[in-house]
Amino acid sequence: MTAEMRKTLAKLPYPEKLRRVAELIDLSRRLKAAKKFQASAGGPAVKNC
Amino acid sequence: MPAPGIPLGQVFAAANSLRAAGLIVEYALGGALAAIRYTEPFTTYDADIFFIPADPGLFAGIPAIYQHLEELGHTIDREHTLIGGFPVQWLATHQLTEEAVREAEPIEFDGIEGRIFRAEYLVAIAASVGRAKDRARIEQFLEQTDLDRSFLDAILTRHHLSLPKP
Repeated sequence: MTAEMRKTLAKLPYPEKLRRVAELIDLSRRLKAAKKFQASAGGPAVKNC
Repeated sequence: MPAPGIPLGQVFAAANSLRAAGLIVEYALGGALAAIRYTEPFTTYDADIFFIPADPGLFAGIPAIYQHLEELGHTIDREHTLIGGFPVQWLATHQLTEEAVREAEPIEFDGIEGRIFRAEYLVAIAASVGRAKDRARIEQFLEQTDLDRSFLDAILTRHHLSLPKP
């Protein structure tokens, strides 16, 4: 993401930013659950980016 | 299962209730969730409420604060309280953070009045902590926010702080 795009995001209204943070949290939880499932199923390990 | 979204209105309502009960003198939202008011959104997993304790003792009235929050129906999970399913940390203020609470701005969220740190105090607090993520946060503020530089410089001077060299 470019610095200009980040500046644009910084100008969003606070409630909209918090909605996006909630989405990020949800995404992170889903990723964690998927990794846990893969590990328990003996699948390939998911590498942290 | 946590409630969707970040229940900041409920967090402010809980803090307002603590203030009305005389358990805290004043409070404000600080930390990453406050920083996001001024910068691009980024992931954070809890809310930091800084409070000026009514009880100046060693524990800053934390046991009574937690008891009051439990009476309001919130739960305790180690160092956090869960408000609307979202973890909230209650942090007693000291010097710079106390000044930040006193100078905090009013804000309304979901129709509930609350208080939030000014951007310049968030930068000064990050400079005082100085971890890698604090330096990254300062950089975000400098790039993305219109800071009142004379106000920030006055805070930094008063607390013998300086911004990290770029």
